[in-house]
Amino acid sequence: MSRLQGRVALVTGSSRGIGAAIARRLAADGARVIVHARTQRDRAEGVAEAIRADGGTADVVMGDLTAGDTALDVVREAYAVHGALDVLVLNAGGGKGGLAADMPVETIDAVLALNLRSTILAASEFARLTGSTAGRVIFLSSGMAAHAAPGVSIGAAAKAGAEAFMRSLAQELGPRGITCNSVAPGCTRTEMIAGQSWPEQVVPWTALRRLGEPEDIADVVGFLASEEARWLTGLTIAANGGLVTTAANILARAK
Amino acid sequence: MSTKTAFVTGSSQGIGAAAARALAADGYRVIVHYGNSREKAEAVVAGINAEGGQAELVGGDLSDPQTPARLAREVAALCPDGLQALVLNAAVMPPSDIGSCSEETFDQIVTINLRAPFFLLQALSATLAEGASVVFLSSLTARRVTGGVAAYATMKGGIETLVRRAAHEFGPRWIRVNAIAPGTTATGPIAAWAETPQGFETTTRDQALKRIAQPEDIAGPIAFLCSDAARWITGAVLPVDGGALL
Repeated sequence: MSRLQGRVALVTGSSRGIGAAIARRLAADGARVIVHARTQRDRAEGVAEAIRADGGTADVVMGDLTAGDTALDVVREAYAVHGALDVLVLNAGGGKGGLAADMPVETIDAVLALNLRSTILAASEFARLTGSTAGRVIFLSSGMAAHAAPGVSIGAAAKAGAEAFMRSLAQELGPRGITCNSVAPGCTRTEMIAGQSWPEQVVPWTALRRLGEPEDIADVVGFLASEEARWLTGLTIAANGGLVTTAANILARAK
Repeated sequence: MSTKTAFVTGSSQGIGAAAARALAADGYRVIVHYGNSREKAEAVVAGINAEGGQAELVGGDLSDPQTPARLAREVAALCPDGLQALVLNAAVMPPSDIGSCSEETFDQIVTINLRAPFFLLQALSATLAEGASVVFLSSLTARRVTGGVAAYATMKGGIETLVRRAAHEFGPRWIRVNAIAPGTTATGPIAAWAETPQGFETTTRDQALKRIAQPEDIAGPIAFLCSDAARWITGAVLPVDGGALL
Protein backbone atom coordinates (compact mmCIF):
# COMPACT_ATOMS: atom_id res chain seq x y z
CA MET A 1 0.00 0.00 0.00
CA SER A 2 1.38 3.42 -0.85
CA ARG A 3 -1.40 5.82 0.15
CA LEU A 4 1.15 8.14 1.83
CA GLN A 5 3.69 8.07 -1.03
CA GLY A 6 5.66 11.30 -1.16
CA ARG A 7 4.59 12.48 2.31
CA VAL A 8 6.97 13.25 5.15
CA ALA A 9 5.86 12.39 8.69
CA LEU A 10 7.36 13.20 12.10
CA VAL A 11 6.29 10.92 14.95
CA THR A 12 7.35 12.19 18.38
CA GLY A 13 8.27 9.60 20.97
CA SER A 14 8.60 6.85 18.40
CA SER A 15 11.51 4.81 19.71
CA ARG A 16 9.10 2.30 21.25
CA GLY A 17 5.51 1.35 21.99
CA ILE A 18 2.64 3.04 20.19
CA GLY A 19 4.94 5.66 18.63
CA ALA A 20 7.18 3.01 17.05
CA ALA A 21 4.12 1.18 15.71
CA ILE A 22 2.86 4.45 14.19
CA ALA A 23 6.25 5.13 12.57
CA ARG A 24 6.23 1.62 11.07
CA ARG A 25 2.61 1.98 9.86
CA LEU A 26 3.20 5.33 8.15
CA ALA A 27 6.42 4.03 6.57
CA ALA A 28 4.64 0.92 5.31
CA ASP A 29 2.05 3.25 3.73
CA GLY A 30 4.86 4.97 1.82
CA ALA A 31 5.65 8.01 3.99
CA ARG A 32 9.22 9.09 4.66
CA VAL A 33 9.32 8.96 8.45
CA ILE A 34 11.26 10.99 11.01
CA VAL A 35 11.64 8.94 14.19
CA HIS A 36 12.04 10.98 17.37
CA ALA A 37 13.28 10.14 20.86
CA ARG A 38 14.22 12.16 23.91
CA THR A 39 17.47 10.44 24.90
CA GLN A 40 17.63 6.87 23.61
CA ARG A 41 19.21 7.39 20.21
CA ASP A 42 20.11 3.71 19.80
CA ARG A 43 16.47 2.66 20.17
CA ALA A 44 15.29 5.34 17.73
CA GLU A 45 17.98 4.25 15.27
CA GLY A 46 16.77 0.68 15.71
CA VAL A 47 13.22 1.66 14.68
CA ALA A 48 14.58 3.63 11.70
CA GLU A 49 16.85 0.75 10.71
CA ALA A 50 13.93 -1.73 10.81
CA ILE A 51 11.90 0.60 8.56
CA ARG A 52 14.79 0.87 6.10
CA ALA A 53 15.23 -2.92 6.15
CA ASP A 54 11.59 -3.18 5.01
CA GLY A 55 12.32 -0.86 2.11
CA GLY A 56 11.11 2.36 3.74
CA THR A 57 12.76 5.70 4.40
CA ALA A 58 13.49 6.82 7.96
CA ASP A 59 15.70 9.33 9.77
CA VAL A 60 16.14 10.19 13.43
CA VAL A 61 15.77 13.51 15.27
CA MET A 62 16.55 13.77 18.99
CA GLY A 63 15.37 16.25 21.60
CA ASP A 64 13.74 16.73 25.01
CA LEU A 65 10.34 18.22 24.17
CA THR A 66 9.96 19.65 27.68
CA ALA A 67 13.18 21.69 27.61
CA GLY A 68 12.96 25.35 26.60
CA ASP A 69 11.93 25.64 22.97
CA THR A 70 13.35 22.25 21.95
CA ALA A 71 9.90 21.24 20.66
CA LEU A 72 10.27 23.94 17.99
CA ASP A 73 13.78 22.70 17.14
CA VAL A 74 12.60 19.09 16.77
CA VAL A 75 9.97 20.12 14.22
CA ARG A 76 12.46 22.37 12.39
CA GLU A 77 15.07 19.61 12.24
CA ALA A 78 12.48 17.12 11.02
CA TYR A 79 11.39 19.58 8.33
CA ALA A 80 15.00 20.14 7.30
CA VAL A 81 15.62 16.45 6.53
CA HIS A 82 13.58 16.52 3.30
CA GLY A 83 12.66 20.21 3.15
CA ALA A 84 9.03 19.28 3.80
CA LEU A 85 6.68 18.03 6.50
CA ASP A 86 3.14 16.82 5.81
CA VAL A 87 2.17 14.80 8.86
CA LEU A 88 2.90 15.61 12.51
CA VAL A 89 2.04 12.87 14.99
CA LEU A 90 2.28 14.13 18.57
CA ASN A 91 2.68 10.88 20.41
CA ALA A 92 5.25 11.62 23.13
CA GLY A 93 3.52 11.84 26.48
CA GLY A 94 3.12 10.35 29.91
CA GLY A 95 4.61 11.24 33.25
CA LYS A 96 4.02 10.66 36.94
CA GLY A 97 0.57 10.24 38.39
CA GLY A 98 -0.61 10.88 41.90
CA LEU A 99 -3.21 12.76 43.89
CA ALA A 100 -3.41 16.46 43.03
CA ALA A 101 -3.09 17.41 46.71
CA ASP A 102 0.19 15.49 46.95
CA MET A 103 1.71 16.69 43.70
CA PRO A 104 4.93 18.78 43.86
CA VAL A 105 4.99 21.83 41.60
CA GLU A 106 7.91 20.36 39.64
CA THR A 107 5.92 17.24 38.77
CA ILE A 108 2.88 19.28 37.72
CA ASP A 109 5.09 21.43 35.50
CA ALA A 110 6.75 18.37 33.96
CA VAL A 111 3.44 16.65 33.14
CA LEU A 112 1.98 19.83 31.61
CA ALA A 113 5.20 20.54 29.70
CA LEU A 114 5.34 17.13 28.05
CA ASN A 115 1.65 16.55 27.34
CA LEU A 116 0.30 20.06 26.73
CA ARG A 117 3.00 22.68 26.22
CA SER A 118 5.11 20.60 23.81
CA THR A 119 1.96 19.78 21.79
CA ILE A 120 1.16 23.48 21.39
CA LEU A 121 4.76 24.40 20.51
CA ALA A 122 5.31 21.59 18.00
CA ALA A 123 1.93 22.03 16.26
CA SER A 124 2.43 25.79 16.03
CA GLU A 125 5.86 25.38 14.45
CA PHE A 126 4.42 22.79 12.06
CA ALA A 127 1.75 25.34 11.05
CA ARG A 128 4.44 27.95 10.37
CA LEU A 129 6.65 25.64 8.32
CA THR A 130 4.45 23.33 6.32
CA GLY A 131 3.38 24.07 2.79
CA SER A 132 1.62 20.71 2.48
CA THR A 133 -1.67 20.50 0.62
CA ALA A 134 -2.54 17.41 2.67
CA GLY A 135 -1.32 18.52 6.09
CA ARG A 136 -2.22 16.41 9.10
CA VAL A 137 -1.74 17.02 12.82
CA ILE A 138 -2.58 13.97 14.92
CA PHE A 139 -2.41 14.11 18.72
CA LEU A 140 -2.29 10.97 20.84
CA SER A 141 -4.61 11.69 23.73
CA SER A 142 -5.98 9.29 26.33
CA GLY A 143 -9.31 8.08 27.61
CA MET A 144 -8.59 9.98 30.81
CA ALA A 145 -9.25 13.26 28.96
CA ALA A 146 -12.93 12.28 28.87
CA HIS A 147 -13.37 9.90 31.84
CA ALA A 148 -12.92 10.79 35.48
CA ALA A 149 -10.40 8.80 37.52
CA PRO A 150 -8.50 9.54 40.71
CA GLY A 151 -4.70 9.78 40.60
CA VAL A 152 -4.35 11.02 37.03
CA SER A 153 -5.90 14.47 37.32
CA ILE A 154 -2.89 16.43 36.03
CA GLY A 155 -2.38 14.13 33.06
CA ALA A 156 -6.12 14.22 32.36
CA ALA A 157 -6.11 18.02 32.41
CA ALA A 158 -3.11 18.13 30.07
CA LYS A 159 -4.63 15.67 27.59
CA ALA A 160 -8.02 17.41 27.66
CA GLY A 161 -6.29 20.76 27.19
CA ALA A 162 -4.36 19.46 24.21
CA GLU A 163 -7.55 18.04 22.66
CA ALA A 164 -9.20 21.43 23.04
CA PHE A 165 -6.16 23.05 21.42
CA MET A 166 -6.43 20.64 18.48
CA ARG A 167 -10.13 21.45 17.99
CA SER A 168 -9.48 25.16 17.73
CA LEU A 169 -6.30 24.67 15.70
CA ALA A 170 -8.43 22.71 13.22
CA GLN A 171 -10.46 25.88 12.66
CA GLU A 172 -7.33 27.98 12.20
CA LEU A 173 -5.66 25.60 9.72
CA GLY A 174 -8.81 24.35 7.95
CA PRO A 175 -8.70 27.02 5.22
CA ARG A 176 -5.26 25.62 4.27
CA GLY A 177 -6.70 22.11 4.01
CA ILE A 178 -4.83 20.90 7.09
CA THR A 179 -6.77 18.59 9.41
CA CYS A 180 -6.15 18.35 13.17
CA ASN A 181 -7.47 15.39 15.15
CA SER A 182 -6.84 13.36 18.29
CA VAL A 183 -6.80 9.63 18.89
CA ALA A 184 -7.59 8.43 22.40
CA PRO A 185 -6.28 4.92 23.07
CA GLY A 186 -7.51 2.83 25.94
CA CYS A 187 -5.31 0.38 27.83
CA THR A 188 -2.67 -0.68 25.31
CA ARG A 189 -0.14 -3.48 25.66
CA THR A 190 3.25 -1.73 25.55
CA GLU A 191 6.42 -2.35 27.52
CA MET A 192 5.14 0.23 30.05
CA ILE A 193 2.71 -2.43 31.33
CA ALA A 194 4.66 -5.54 30.37
CA GLY A 195 4.90 -8.21 33.05
CA GLN A 196 2.14 -6.67 35.18
CA SER A 197 -1.09 -8.48 36.01
CA TRP A 198 -3.40 -5.48 36.58
CA PRO A 199 -4.12 -4.86 32.87
CA GLU A 200 -6.16 -8.10 32.83
CA GLN A 201 -8.71 -6.30 35.05
CA VAL A 202 -9.41 -3.95 32.14
CA VAL A 203 -10.48 -6.71 29.76
CA PRO A 204 -14.00 -7.34 31.21
CA TRP A 205 -14.72 -3.60 30.90
CA THR A 206 -13.87 -3.68 27.20
CA ALA A 207 -16.56 -4.56 24.66
CA LEU A 208 -14.13 -6.54 22.51
CA ARG A 209 -12.76 -8.40 25.56
CA ARG A 210 -9.02 -7.94 25.06
CA LEU A 211 -6.31 -5.31 25.59
CA GLY A 212 -5.26 -2.96 22.81
CA GLU A 213 -2.08 -3.55 20.84
CA PRO A 214 0.13 -0.71 19.55
CA GLU A 215 -0.77 -1.71 15.98
CA ASP A 216 -4.51 -1.23 16.78
CA ILE A 217 -3.76 2.43 17.45
CA ALA A 218 -1.25 2.83 14.62
CA ASP A 219 -3.82 1.70 12.04
CA VAL A 220 -6.21 4.45 13.15
CA VAL A 221 -3.42 7.04 12.88
CA GLY A 222 -2.61 5.66 9.42
CA PHE A 223 -6.23 6.25 8.39
CA LEU A 224 -6.22 9.82 9.75
CA ALA A 225 -3.03 10.54 7.79
CA SER A 226 -4.55 9.23 4.57
CA GLU A 227 -6.64 10.88 1.87
CA GLU A 228 -9.70 8.85 3.00
CA ALA A 229 -9.81 10.96 6.19
CA ARG A 230 -9.79 14.30 4.35
CA TRP A 231 -13.18 15.35 5.76
CA LEU A 232 -12.47 14.59 9.43
CA THR A 233 -11.09 17.46 11.44
CA GLY A 234 -11.34 18.77 15.00
CA LEU A 235 -12.41 15.47 16.47
CA THR A 236 -11.21 12.83 18.89
CA ILE A 237 -11.44 9.18 17.89
CA ALA A 238 -11.52 6.77 20.82
CA ALA A 239 -9.58 3.63 19.84
CA ASN A 240 -10.19 1.49 22.89
CA GLY A 241 -12.17 -1.60 21.88
CA GLY A 242 -15.26 -0.17 23.57
CA LEU A 243 -13.69 0.47 26.98
CA VAL A 244 -16.41 2.07 29.10
CA THR A 245 -14.04 3.98 31.41
CA THR A 246 -10.29 4.21 31.94
CA ALA A 247 -7.82 1.73 33.35
CA ALA A 248 -6.97 4.17 36.15
CA ASN A 249 -10.60 4.24 37.26
CA ILE A 250 -10.98 0.46 37.06
CA LEU A 251 -7.93 0.03 39.27
CA ALA A 252 -9.15 2.64 41.74
CA ARG A 253 -12.48 0.82 42.06
CA ALA A 254 -10.74 -2.52 42.56
CA LYS A 255 -8.78 -1.26 45.58
CA MET B 1 -10.68 -16.57 0.66
CA SER B 2 -14.47 -16.28 0.75
CA THR B 3 -16.17 -13.08 -0.35
CA LYS B 4 -17.28 -10.63 2.33
CA THR B 5 -20.79 -9.24 2.02
CA ALA B 6 -22.00 -5.75 2.94
CA PHE B 7 -25.60 -4.57 3.20
CA VAL B 8 -26.21 -0.83 2.83
CA THR B 9 -29.72 0.53 3.42
CA GLY B 10 -30.81 3.49 1.35
CA SER B 11 -28.03 3.03 -1.18
CA SER B 12 -29.83 4.11 -4.36
CA GLN B 13 -28.32 7.59 -4.06
CA GLY B 14 -26.30 10.03 -1.99
CA ILE B 15 -24.09 8.83 0.88
CA GLY B 16 -25.55 5.29 0.76
CA ALA B 17 -24.70 4.86 -2.93
CA ALA B 18 -21.18 6.24 -2.34
CA ALA B 19 -20.74 3.85 0.60
CA ALA B 20 -21.90 0.90 -1.55
CA ARG B 21 -19.36 1.84 -4.23
CA ALA B 22 -16.55 2.31 -1.69
CA LEU B 23 -17.25 -1.07 -0.08
CA ALA B 24 -17.41 -2.73 -3.49
CA ALA B 25 -14.03 -1.17 -4.31
CA ASP B 26 -12.71 -2.70 -1.06
CA GLY B 27 -13.78 -6.15 -2.28
CA TYR B 28 -17.18 -6.55 -0.64
CA ARG B 29 -20.11 -8.09 -2.46
CA VAL B 30 -22.65 -5.34 -1.78
CA ILE B 31 -26.38 -5.72 -1.25
CA VAL B 32 -27.86 -2.44 -2.43
CA HIS B 33 -31.20 -1.41 -0.92
CA TYR B 34 -33.81 1.09 -2.07
CA GLY B 35 -37.07 2.29 -0.62
CA ASN B 36 -38.75 3.79 -3.67
CA SER B 37 -36.01 4.63 -6.18
CA ARG B 38 -35.61 1.26 -7.87
CA GLU B 39 -34.14 2.64 -11.10
CA LYS B 40 -31.46 4.63 -9.30
CA ALA B 41 -30.58 1.56 -7.24
CA GLU B 42 -30.32 -0.56 -10.38
CA ALA B 43 -27.90 2.01 -11.78
CA VAL B 44 -25.76 1.71 -8.61
CA VAL B 45 -25.72 -2.09 -9.00
CA ALA B 46 -24.87 -1.80 -12.70
CA GLY B 47 -22.10 0.70 -11.92
CA ILE B 48 -20.53 -1.65 -9.34
CA ASN B 49 -20.75 -4.61 -11.73
CA ALA B 50 -19.22 -2.52 -14.52
CA GLU B 51 -16.22 -1.82 -12.26
CA GLY B 52 -15.72 -5.54 -11.79
CA GLY B 53 -17.46 -5.69 -8.41
CA GLN B 54 -20.41 -7.75 -7.23
CA ALA B 55 -23.74 -6.26 -6.22
CA GLU B 56 -27.27 -7.45 -5.53
CA LEU B 57 -30.51 -5.54 -5.18
CA VAL B 58 -33.20 -5.62 -2.51
CA GLY B 59 -36.15 -3.27 -2.11
CA GLY B 60 -38.37 -2.35 0.79
CA ASP B 61 -40.19 0.75 1.98
CA LEU B 62 -38.96 1.30 5.55
CA SER B 63 -41.93 3.52 6.41
CA ASP B 64 -43.85 0.23 6.62
CA PRO B 65 -43.23 -1.30 10.08
CA GLN B 66 -43.34 -4.81 8.54
CA THR B 67 -40.42 -4.12 6.20
CA PRO B 68 -37.38 -4.59 8.51
CA ALA B 69 -38.27 -8.21 9.35
CA ARG B 70 -39.01 -9.09 5.72
CA LEU B 71 -35.92 -7.30 4.44
CA ALA B 72 -33.72 -9.05 7.02
CA ARG B 73 -34.99 -12.47 5.87
CA GLU B 74 -34.21 -11.56 2.26
CA VAL B 75 -30.72 -10.33 3.14
CA ALA B 76 -30.02 -13.37 5.32
CA ALA B 77 -30.96 -15.63 2.41
CA LEU B 78 -28.40 -13.79 0.27
CA CYS B 79 -25.66 -14.33 2.89
CA PRO B 80 -25.02 -18.05 3.42
CA ASP B 81 -21.57 -17.15 4.82
CA GLY B 82 -22.91 -14.37 7.03
CA LEU B 83 -22.85 -10.62 6.79
CA GLN B 84 -19.54 -8.83 7.39
CA ALA B 85 -20.67 -5.20 7.09
CA LEU B 86 -24.02 -3.59 7.85
CA VAL B 87 -24.46 0.10 7.02
CA LEU B 88 -27.74 1.50 8.34
CA ASN B 89 -27.96 4.64 6.27
CA ALA B 90 -31.57 4.99 5.06
CA ALA B 91 -33.29 8.05 6.50
CA VAL B 92 -35.67 10.88 5.70
CA MET B 93 -35.20 14.51 6.75
CA PRO B 94 -38.38 16.55 6.40
CA PRO B 95 -38.68 19.90 8.21
CA SER B 96 -39.62 18.91 11.76
CA ASP B 97 -39.23 21.75 14.24
CA ILE B 98 -41.47 21.49 17.29
CA GLY B 99 -43.71 24.34 16.24
CA SER B 100 -44.63 22.76 12.92
CA CYS B 101 -44.01 18.99 13.09
CA SER B 102 -47.23 17.01 12.61
CA GLU B 103 -47.79 13.67 14.32
CA GLU B 104 -47.70 12.02 10.89
CA THR B 105 -44.29 13.54 10.12
CA PHE B 106 -42.94 12.56 13.54
CA ASP B 107 -44.19 8.99 13.15
CA GLN B 108 -42.71 8.75 9.65
CA ILE B 109 -39.28 9.94 10.88
CA VAL B 110 -39.27 7.68 13.93
CA THR B 111 -40.32 4.66 11.84
CA ILE B 112 -37.72 5.10 9.10
CA ASN B 113 -34.83 6.68 11.01
CA LEU B 114 -34.94 4.92 14.40
CA ARG B 115 -37.32 1.95 14.46
CA ALA B 116 -36.13 0.49 11.14
CA PRO B 117 -32.39 0.46 11.96
CA PHE B 118 -33.09 -0.89 15.47
CA PHE B 119 -35.12 -3.84 14.20
CA LEU B 120 -32.91 -4.45 11.16
CA LEU B 121 -29.98 -4.82 13.56
CA GLN B 122 -32.05 -7.12 15.78
CA ALA B 123 -33.29 -9.24 12.88
CA LEU B 124 -29.85 -9.45 11.23
CA SER B 125 -28.07 -10.19 14.51
CA ALA B 126 -27.88 -13.91 13.81
CA THR B 127 -26.60 -13.25 10.29
CA LEU B 128 -23.77 -10.93 11.39
CA ALA B 129 -20.49 -12.83 11.24
CA GLU B 130 -17.84 -12.77 13.96
CA GLY B 131 -15.70 -9.69 13.33
CA ALA B 132 -18.51 -7.88 11.48
CA SER B 133 -18.82 -4.11 11.51
CA VAL B 134 -22.09 -2.22 11.92
CA VAL B 135 -22.13 1.45 10.91
CA PHE B 136 -25.05 3.74 11.72
CA LEU B 137 -25.47 7.16 10.14
CA SER B 138 -25.97 9.90 12.71
CA SER B 139 -25.85 13.61 11.92
CA LEU B 140 -24.27 16.86 13.03
CA THR B 141 -27.79 17.84 14.13
CA ALA B 142 -27.66 15.27 16.95
CA ARG B 143 -25.18 17.48 18.83
CA ARG B 144 -25.48 20.95 17.29
CA VAL B 145 -28.51 23.13 16.81
CA THR B 146 -28.69 23.71 13.06
CA GLY B 147 -31.49 23.39 10.54
CA GLY B 148 -35.22 23.26 11.28
CA VAL B 149 -35.18 19.55 12.07
CA ALA B 150 -35.91 19.05 15.78
CA ALA B 151 -37.61 15.64 15.44
CA TYR B 152 -35.01 14.36 12.96
CA ALA B 153 -32.16 15.50 15.26
CA THR B 154 -33.83 13.83 18.25
CA MET B 155 -33.90 10.46 16.42
CA LYS B 156 -30.23 10.89 15.51
CA GLY B 157 -29.48 11.47 19.20
CA GLY B 158 -31.24 8.16 19.81
CA ILE B 159 -29.02 6.50 17.20
CA GLU B 160 -25.89 7.70 19.03
CA THR B 161 -27.12 6.17 22.28
CA LEU B 162 -28.06 2.98 20.44
CA VAL B 163 -24.51 2.75 19.07
CA ARG B 164 -23.03 2.66 22.59
CA ARG B 165 -25.54 0.09 23.81
CA ALA B 166 -25.16 -2.12 20.73
CA ALA B 167 -21.35 -1.97 20.90
CA HIS B 168 -21.47 -3.52 24.35
CA GLU B 169 -24.19 -6.02 23.55
CA PHE B 170 -22.37 -7.25 20.42
CA GLY B 171 -18.75 -6.75 21.61
CA PRO B 172 -18.34 -10.25 23.07
CA ARG B 173 -19.17 -11.61 19.59
CA TRP B 174 -16.37 -9.40 18.16
CA ILE B 175 -18.92 -7.34 16.30
CA ARG B 176 -18.14 -3.63 16.25
CA VAL B 177 -20.83 -0.93 16.21
CA ASN B 178 -20.10 2.73 15.39
CA ALA B 179 -21.67 5.76 13.77
CA ILE B 180 -20.56 8.37 11.29
CA ALA B 181 -22.08 11.82 11.80
CA PRO B 182 -21.88 13.91 8.63
CA GLY B 183 -22.56 17.62 8.43
CA THR B 184 -24.01 19.29 5.36
CA THR B 185 -23.27 17.03 2.40
CA ALA B 186 -24.06 17.54 -1.28
CA THR B 187 -26.89 15.02 -1.68
CA GLY B 188 -30.40 15.37 -3.11
CA PRO B 189 -31.84 18.88 -2.91
CA ILE B 190 -28.99 19.99 -0.61
CA ALA B 191 -26.49 19.58 -3.48
CA ALA B 192 -28.07 22.29 -5.60
CA TRP B 193 -28.60 24.63 -2.64
CA ALA B 194 -25.00 24.22 -1.46
CA GLU B 195 -23.75 25.38 -4.84
CA THR B 196 -25.69 28.64 -4.67
CA PRO B 197 -23.63 31.61 -3.37
CA GLN B 198 -25.76 31.78 -0.23
CA GLY B 199 -25.70 28.02 0.34
CA PHE B 200 -21.94 27.86 -0.15
CA GLU B 201 -21.38 30.81 2.19
CA THR B 202 -23.70 29.41 4.89
CA THR B 203 -22.15 25.94 4.75
CA THR B 204 -18.47 26.86 4.62
CA ARG B 205 -18.80 29.67 7.18
CA ASP B 206 -19.58 27.07 9.81
CA GLN B 207 -16.80 24.57 9.09
CA ALA B 208 -12.99 24.51 9.17
CA LEU B 209 -12.56 23.13 5.65
CA LYS B 210 -13.85 25.62 3.11
CA ARG B 211 -15.66 23.48 0.58
CA ILE B 212 -18.87 21.47 0.31
CA ALA B 213 -18.72 17.82 1.37
CA GLN B 214 -19.36 15.25 -1.34
CA PRO B 215 -20.86 11.81 -0.58
CA GLU B 216 -17.43 10.23 -1.23
CA ASP B 217 -15.97 12.28 1.66
CA ILE B 218 -18.34 10.38 3.98
CA ALA B 219 -18.07 7.01 2.23
CA GLY B 220 -14.30 6.77 2.85
CA PRO B 221 -14.67 6.85 6.65
CA ILE B 222 -17.61 4.40 6.46
CA ALA B 223 -15.40 1.98 4.51
CA PHE B 224 -12.63 2.56 7.07
CA LEU B 225 -14.94 1.61 9.95
CA CYS B 226 -15.82 -1.59 8.07
CA SER B 227 -12.14 -2.42 7.53
CA ASP B 228 -9.68 -4.33 9.72
CA ALA B 229 -7.75 -1.09 10.31
CA ALA B 230 -10.68 0.00 12.55
CA ARG B 231 -10.68 -3.28 14.54
CA TRP B 232 -10.15 -1.40 17.83
CA ILE B 233 -12.88 1.21 17.33
CA THR B 234 -16.30 0.35 18.71
CA GLY B 235 -19.04 2.33 20.41
CA ALA B 236 -17.74 5.49 18.77
CA VAL B 237 -19.46 8.29 16.91
CA LEU B 238 -17.17 9.89 14.34
CA PRO B 239 -18.21 13.36 13.24
CA VAL B 240 -17.21 13.61 9.57
CA ASP B 241 -18.18 17.21 8.96
CA GLY B 242 -15.13 19.14 7.77
CA GLY B 243 -14.70 20.56 11.26
CA ALA B 244 -18.09 21.94 12.28
CA LEU B 245 -17.70 25.25 14.04
CA LEU B 246 -21.23 25.35 15.44
